[in-house]
Amino acid sequence: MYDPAPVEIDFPTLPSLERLRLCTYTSSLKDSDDHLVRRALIKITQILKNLASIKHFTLIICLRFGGDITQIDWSPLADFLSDRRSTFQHTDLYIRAVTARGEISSDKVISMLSHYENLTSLVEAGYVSIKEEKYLDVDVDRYFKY
Amino acid sequence: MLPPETLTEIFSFLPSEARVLVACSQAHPIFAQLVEPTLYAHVIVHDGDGDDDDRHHLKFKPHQLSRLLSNNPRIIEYLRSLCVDFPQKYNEGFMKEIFAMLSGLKLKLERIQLTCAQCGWFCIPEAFHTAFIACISTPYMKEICLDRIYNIPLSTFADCTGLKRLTLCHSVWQPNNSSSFKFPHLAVETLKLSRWANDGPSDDFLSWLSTHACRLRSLTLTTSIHVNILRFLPRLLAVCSTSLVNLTIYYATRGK
Repeated sequence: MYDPAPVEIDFPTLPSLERLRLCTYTSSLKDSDDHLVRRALIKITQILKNLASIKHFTLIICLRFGGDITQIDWSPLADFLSDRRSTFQHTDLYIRAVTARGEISSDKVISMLSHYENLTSLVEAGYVSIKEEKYLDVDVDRYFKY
Repeated sequence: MLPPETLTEIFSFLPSEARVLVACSQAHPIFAQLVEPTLYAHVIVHDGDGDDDDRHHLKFKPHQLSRLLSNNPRIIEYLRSLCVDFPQKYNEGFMKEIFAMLSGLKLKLERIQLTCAQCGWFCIPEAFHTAFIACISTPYMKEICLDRIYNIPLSTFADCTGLKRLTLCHSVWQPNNSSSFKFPHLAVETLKLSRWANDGPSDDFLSWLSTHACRLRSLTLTTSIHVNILRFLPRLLAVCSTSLVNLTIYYATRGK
């Protein structure tokens, strides 16, 4: 089963928190589990709603996916970031997907996300960066190798 | 030629470029003096049998560094950060040389890092404990990083009054005892906890943190253990809720 943590964290009120970096692996997902990713994204947005002081958010996800990653619905995250444009100074997204056939290319991940017009407009305006593997910093790279 | 102050300022922006600094020092005798504060600010001590992937800082064997510092006492003033890269297999000679260096020279370190393949604190000679504790119990010491050092007593840090940043990677703490958990001095602002074992000693440490880490401004937590996320983290966040500015959570679950 997919474990949606760390979004299960019961965050207390953190009035001073300015930078949040959430990084998670998923367990192996089956073809029909794409709705679980959507559910996790909704939980992430709920956490962020309660952390009003955040200015810089980084979300790092490594999906181990059995099916077609284009079936994943990223709209909860895209909609939330679009709504919070005025309060978030910047958001970094690192999304990496691995299937049984190997790793999905960064281009395909970016192509998948580009279907969300509100997210694309945020990227164009400089509010959101979608990071490719080659831009991963040392800590993140080590994490993905774990 | 630019004024020396300007050149020194330029070199200070190259703290992780040992090769560049060495090349500069060889270009002109004046440069050799001006690069020293940056070149010797961070050095690595190793036994020479590990990988050589860090080409950004100077690397010495213990006796080489001891000799360098003894022959050039001014470099002691420049040395701010020391990384001790322990050999994979226990090496008593290496330990003695490190001990001699830490205890024999009056270093003014602001940062120390101990990196080990897998090392129990009580497998390290008592003399090293004493030298290490003396080294970190100075007002200069701001940052300590321990990688794979097991069963280190929390009381080791009892006199680290100036400590601001603490990184514990794959490290486990000594089981709870009254002497380990009495002192309240560990008031670090930046804490990085990475992949400690989920056993009794760690639980004790986490419980201690949950009541003492009230000034944390930056927390990084890397874990694959669900209970740490569900139980420990909320408690820790609650205790530092008003001070915390940066939060990083790496949570990795293994495939089932």
